[in-house]
Amino acid sequence: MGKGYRHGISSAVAAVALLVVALAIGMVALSIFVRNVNVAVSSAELEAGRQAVKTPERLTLVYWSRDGRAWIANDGPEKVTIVQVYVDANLAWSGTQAIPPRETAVMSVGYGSSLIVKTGTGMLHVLRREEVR
Amino acid sequence: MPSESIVIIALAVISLGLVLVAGTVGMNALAPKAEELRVGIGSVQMVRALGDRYLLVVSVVNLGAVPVTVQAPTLRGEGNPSCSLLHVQGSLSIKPGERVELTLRCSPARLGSEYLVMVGTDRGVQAWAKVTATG
Repeated sequence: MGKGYRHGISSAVAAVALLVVALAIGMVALSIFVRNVNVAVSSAELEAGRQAVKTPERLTLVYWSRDGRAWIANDGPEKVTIVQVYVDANLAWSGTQAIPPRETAVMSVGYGSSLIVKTGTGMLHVLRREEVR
Repeated sequence: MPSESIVIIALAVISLGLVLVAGTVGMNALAPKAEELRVGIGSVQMVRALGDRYLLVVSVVNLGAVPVTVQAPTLRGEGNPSCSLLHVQGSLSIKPGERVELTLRCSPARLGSEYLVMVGTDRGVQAWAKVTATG
């Protein structure tokens, strides 16, 4: 075989080698890109889902009697469901108490310095908090 | 001979390329199995209840493909608050796609400070999120 023929073969092999390496680097880069896009999309979907369940909730404590009854009004446009009540950072009540818009519910929860309710959407609402000295 | 050296180098480069391709294909084939264990924090809220005591609500979502059991969340930040679990809405063992909502009392914490909420599982995977203590 002549010298020029051998040189031709080695050039072709080198070209194929370069092609394979370029292909491999491209696959690795594409793989990393696709993975990052998937993570970003799933995070965005989760956030969108979280925002979607948020509804405007406006709860007001009308009166809290010493015998532990609390009058809670729903001043918002949507029905609100209270699922937990915390008095002085202790769980005082759990269950399901639905309050239609512009209506008031009376709940027996005990008495204290702080009253926080949690609604069905998972939101906490501070209805009353007296500063302790 | 120079041409033989070039061929050897070229073969070495091809081998390296093939290893890269095999690695990528293998990673893509095994990645779904590795991602079967994944949890995330759907929402988190920290509200002052009384004094330096705060209520913390953490919603944990199973984003993987196998059930996991959630452990009590921990809080890191100013004052190193410790938390006690008050209520669990749902089951601590969460199936894929399901969520559990945990309510905790944490103290001492400071209004306006930012805290890191970390949730562990029995399978070793963790989720974390930042939360600001609000009034």
